[in-house]
Amino acid sequence: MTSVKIELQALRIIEKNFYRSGNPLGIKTKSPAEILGISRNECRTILYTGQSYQLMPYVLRILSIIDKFGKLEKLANLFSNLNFSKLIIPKMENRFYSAIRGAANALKNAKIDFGVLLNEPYDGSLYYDLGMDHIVDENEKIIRSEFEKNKVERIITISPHSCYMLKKVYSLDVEVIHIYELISNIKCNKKAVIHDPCILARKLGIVTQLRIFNAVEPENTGKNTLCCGGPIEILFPQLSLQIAKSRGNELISAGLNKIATACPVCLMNFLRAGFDARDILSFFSGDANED
Amino acid sequence: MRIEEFKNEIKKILQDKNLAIALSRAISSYRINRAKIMDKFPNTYKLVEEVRRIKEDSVERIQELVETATENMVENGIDVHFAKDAEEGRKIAYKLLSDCNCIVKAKSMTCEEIRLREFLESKGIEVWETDLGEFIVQMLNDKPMHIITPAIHLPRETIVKALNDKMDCVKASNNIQEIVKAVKSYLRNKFFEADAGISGANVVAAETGSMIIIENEGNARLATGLPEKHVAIIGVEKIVPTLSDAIKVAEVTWRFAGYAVPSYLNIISSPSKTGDIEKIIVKGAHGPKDLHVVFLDNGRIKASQDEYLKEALLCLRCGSCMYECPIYQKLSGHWGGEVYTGGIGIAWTAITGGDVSMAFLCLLCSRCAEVCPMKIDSSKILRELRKKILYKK
Repeated sequence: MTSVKIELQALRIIEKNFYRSGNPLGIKTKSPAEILGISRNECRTILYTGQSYQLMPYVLRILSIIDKFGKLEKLANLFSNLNFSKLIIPKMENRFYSAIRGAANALKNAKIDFGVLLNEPYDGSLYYDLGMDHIVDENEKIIRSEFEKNKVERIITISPHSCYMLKKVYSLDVEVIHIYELISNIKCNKKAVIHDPCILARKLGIVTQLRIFNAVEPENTGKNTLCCGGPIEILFPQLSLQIAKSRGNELISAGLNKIATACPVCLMNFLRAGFDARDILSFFSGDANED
Repeated sequence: MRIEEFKNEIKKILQDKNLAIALSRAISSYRINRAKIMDKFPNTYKLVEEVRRIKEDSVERIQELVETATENMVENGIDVHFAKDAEEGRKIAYKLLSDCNCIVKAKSMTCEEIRLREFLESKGIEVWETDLGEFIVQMLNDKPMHIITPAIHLPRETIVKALNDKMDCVKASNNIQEIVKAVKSYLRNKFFEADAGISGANVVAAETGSMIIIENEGNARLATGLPEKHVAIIGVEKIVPTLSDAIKVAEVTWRFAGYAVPSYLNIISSPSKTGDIEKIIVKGAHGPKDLHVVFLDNGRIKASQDEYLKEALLCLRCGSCMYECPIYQKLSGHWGGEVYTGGIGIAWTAITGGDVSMAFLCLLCSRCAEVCPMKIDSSKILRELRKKILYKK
């Protein structure tokens, strides 16, 4: 019965971390401004990462440790008691940051002007998924205030989770558009097996727009996609990993070991399961190591 | 919280090779069958839209339909009872069956919900599950792991070993045909010995007071037709307005359960009767003389008023969401409520009462909604249940 408290503790820690740093891990993530080398913002159209791509390298590291040592309990204590960011070195961060750089390049190629928020709030998606609506409400206030302060009129999201939160959960007075709705005319000849993220395909209806590269279609594709297992990675890490392995094997059975997806959570879980995965946006990053 | 204990179980379940083999075989067969069937009957997709409207309307009018169905069943000579909860359901059933020594039972999740077999057994009555999957589960003292395929978690090798241990008169081999033959032979006399048969129903037509039972094995036909008494335990959400509506609901149910057409479609509207002598109607010709229907509420009527749970009342119990759920594909019926399995099973546990903490396992991927004929998005319901747990509503 010891695990009884672990889960509730994990939820409590995730809650506490929000009040400490604004995100579930209690760490300070790199802003898109830092990643893209932008020092100020004067644009009403914003490229919004929702911190999602920046948090995942930390999650990946934490899960690697969990996979190795098998206990969430001790790690959960670390979350609450220590300055976590100083201890945990993000894993494969460039694979995630290259998606942000690729997004910026793709928008430039599509001749779309955009800025970034220098102080970008978390998108709140994990809190929403867990049913922690009091934090979702708090987070909405923070996002609204940041958007108003920066006179934001239009948001371009790159994470499906951010897009869903901004479009379907929060009531914000801004136009929200997902990046693939803007760059679907840009094509590249990189080849990989495509994994449609569930939220993007089923909840936001974005399927054909992702096919801007030489996409190999697996079993269970498009709206019929199968989940990567990522959404339960913190509470049920072993189960999440097994689901990632099954889906990853189904993907590579399409004939190619290279997987491309469009969601930081999917990317993280496939990398964790040992697959050669990247974000589709990375194809535009200009970084040969990450595409 | 069951989930707290369950977390420790996950590792064990994931390491169960037999489970992985059985699930992969069953899911693969289901997918092949369903693809073939949908190719042959593409009109099913149109029919689902109509059935969704029928079910929505029926849930909206649930209490009115209970009254109409009751009225018409009574007129047909059926004794109709109403049980507000599981305990009352068991009490009524026992009152009706207390004079029986031996009972044969067709597969029914509603009976599982009120633990009817276990209850009657505790009163000293012999109760035999006659659906093959349920019989296997009964022999193994296990839990039905799927609403349509109760023994989905067991590969044939495990089943044969267990049956050989339990049924000393039967030596089944690993050949599935042989297993079926052995169980048929074992159960044959039970049907003739039985004083009563118990069933559920897939759908009920209020206007004619008819219940429809879909089956392939022929066991439901025998269990409801051979003994002198038939008791049907039916959830009130199964009632739809007309017989024509009921047939449509049944057709979508069997299609999505993976069948082009079922071997048997039983429509039962009254006790067995004859008027062959002087046109005088006498009950109990070849079939049961006594026919009882117990309509079970057990949270359904309250759920029909709930913004989220009422969606789960539309469920046809075809089981397709489970075959296609990534969590179910790893854990089978270990994931879900105590009785009803999978994500939709947790929603049903919220309706009928029980621990819903397993809601935290859901991936919220909505794959279930994609394959469900009624487009029920269990993930939406389960997120709401998470809120209820966290805020102790």
